[in-house]
Amino acid sequence: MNDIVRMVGDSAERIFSGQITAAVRAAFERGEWCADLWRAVDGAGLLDALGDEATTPYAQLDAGAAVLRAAGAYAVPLPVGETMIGRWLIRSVGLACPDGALALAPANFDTTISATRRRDSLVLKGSERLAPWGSSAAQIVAVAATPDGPCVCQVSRETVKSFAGRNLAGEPNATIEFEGAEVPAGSWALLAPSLSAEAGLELAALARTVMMAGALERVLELAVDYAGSRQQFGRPIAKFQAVQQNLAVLAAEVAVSNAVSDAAVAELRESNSRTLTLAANARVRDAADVVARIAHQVHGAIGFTHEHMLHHYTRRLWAWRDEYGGLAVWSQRLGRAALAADGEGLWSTLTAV
Amino acid sequence: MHERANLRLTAFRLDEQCERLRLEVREFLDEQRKSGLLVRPTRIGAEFSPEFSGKLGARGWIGMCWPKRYGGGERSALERYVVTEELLAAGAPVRAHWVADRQSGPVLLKFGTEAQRMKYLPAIARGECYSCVGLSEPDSGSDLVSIRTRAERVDGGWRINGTKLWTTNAHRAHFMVALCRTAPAGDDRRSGLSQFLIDMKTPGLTVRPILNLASEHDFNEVHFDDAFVPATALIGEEGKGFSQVSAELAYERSGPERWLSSFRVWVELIDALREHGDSGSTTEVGRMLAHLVSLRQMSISVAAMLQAGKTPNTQAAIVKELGTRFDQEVPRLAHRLFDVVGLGRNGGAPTRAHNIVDHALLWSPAFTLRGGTTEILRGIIARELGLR
Repeated sequence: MNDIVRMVGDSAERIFSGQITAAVRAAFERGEWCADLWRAVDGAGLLDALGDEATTPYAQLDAGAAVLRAAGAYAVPLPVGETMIGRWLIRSVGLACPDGALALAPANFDTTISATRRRDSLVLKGSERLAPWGSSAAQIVAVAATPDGPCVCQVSRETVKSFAGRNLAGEPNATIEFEGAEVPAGSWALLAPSLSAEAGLELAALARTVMMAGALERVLELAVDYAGSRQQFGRPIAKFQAVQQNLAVLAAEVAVSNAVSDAAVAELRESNSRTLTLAANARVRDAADVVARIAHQVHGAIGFTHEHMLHHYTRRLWAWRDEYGGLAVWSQRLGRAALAADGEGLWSTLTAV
Repeated sequence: MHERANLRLTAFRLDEQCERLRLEVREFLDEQRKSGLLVRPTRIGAEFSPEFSGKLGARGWIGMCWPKRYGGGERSALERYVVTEELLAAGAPVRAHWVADRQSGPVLLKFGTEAQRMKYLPAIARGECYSCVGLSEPDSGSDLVSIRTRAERVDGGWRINGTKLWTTNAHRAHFMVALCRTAPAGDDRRSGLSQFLIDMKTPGLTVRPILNLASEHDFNEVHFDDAFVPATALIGEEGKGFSQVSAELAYERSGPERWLSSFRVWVELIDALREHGDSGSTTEVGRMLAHLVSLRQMSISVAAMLQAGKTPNTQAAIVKELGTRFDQEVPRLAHRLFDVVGLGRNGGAPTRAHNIVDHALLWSPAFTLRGGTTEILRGIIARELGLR
């Protein structure tokens, strides 16, 4: 990890750990927008960490990933990934970046948003369900299919119909009807040829993977701390082998999630291959399930309530793993890649660079 | 936030030199397929082929990392890693030289005398000399320091009495590296143990076959009845055997064999599902392959850390813990998917696919027992977490 990436990561951790107090979390749980936190995070430049280079779009992905991992580790109640990726998409086509929070569309791989020209504007068609943070963001960055190719569109929420909801972690989302929404000139442009139509969605999925990896690591710390301090039968419960073995399994899931998510970021940055990205997206979603279960088992009754902060993490793990493509989507893609060749060809598929 | 360095593995990509070597190995394997020395496996686990080992040795792919004066290639740990994973994925018959290359040779290199090294290492590197490991006993498995095979000092050497168990390939090996008790345990149970290099033709040494769950002869019981070995048989320092063995076990802890044992099941499964599979089986396959790809990434990173002179003990134990459970799950997945897509065996002769899945199922209990049980590995990880 180079120095800049480390600096960005440290900066993110400092801001998140300093700013996210119990009061901030409580306000968020009540449904409030954390405006002060937003100002601190945005003011520190964290949401611009992905950079803006259109020709080598993934050049700063490692710095962006450092912010995202920290965002997961601190269960940051803001659309960090969405805003980072939205700005990255907008800058990649040379448009001016709006202030404020962003949401992304499509947010699912089976959704199509399309657009037709009306003079200098685009008129959108289609809808998206459960777009993360869609109800908090003033602007939605939508990638719409047009006869000329995919276009990045900055869509004002005032121009669409949206229905607010929340995921199981209490994070806001929205079902959005784009039908008839007009995107004026200056708010849309053709996607750079270096990026595929799915690039934004693909990056959003990897963002969730990296965020989950950060959250998993924090959950391990919570579990180890709890087991070390909770005394029963005259000793910390960490002294019982059954608990030790469970924590070892949890730690193994953290380690593999770290390894494969870091490797996926490097792959996306350095090559056209996607094997590690597919594998990371699937593997970390699997890990999230195991880790949430073990963590709750270790934390006993108090972990099952709002009296302990574990729920901020496990509810997010359960929610995040289904956003921008769940386990099945990533498993399908990797499975199809493997089945494209015969059995003796499998190894070549898995080891291709 | 506290970052646990021992749960991080630097993202590492194999360089061009490694990828070129990979292609060389694949060419070599294609040649062996043409000559008939490498056939498509009908079982999991590598076959025993002195001829193949000889050819591999001639290419310089045994003892790859050893100094040239011992017949080695002075190649990097990562290059060795690449050769290893290619051979295992292809189901190459590497059984004969495997243990000597992976464990016994490195022990001699690290702790042996010059005479021991010169006598054995070049022959191992040529693929002509095979070894077995004398550790487990009837009453000692996970609790290694409780071993009772004893070596008593006598004139000119040592007299060994006791029994070693589960000794893989003792019936086909030239020498054994055995852990024996040479002094009473005292306060430190780990002291008083020593390693010996024992010629399998030593009088007083008898080998009895043990059939495993797959009804194969792989394991043996090796009995020492006043077996005399010369003083030159001692490896390293008397009494330091335990720490020498610990180093030995760590070498192989994270290798790709930990998650490639069942790879031939994948080959059969893919072929079967291309014809009979559906969307659901594709998803299940992909989900498990994500585990394989992740484990591979960890193994590569651990190899890179070892190359850089680090000692990634936690990470290596984790790779083994996850990898062996994964390997165990693969035949179960194949069995389930064959059932679900209707490739059960109602009528008709069993296919090669069924045979390999059966064989893997029979072997699968061993994956999480050999070289350190799951429970022991989790204990090691727990210790590294500071819990014990």
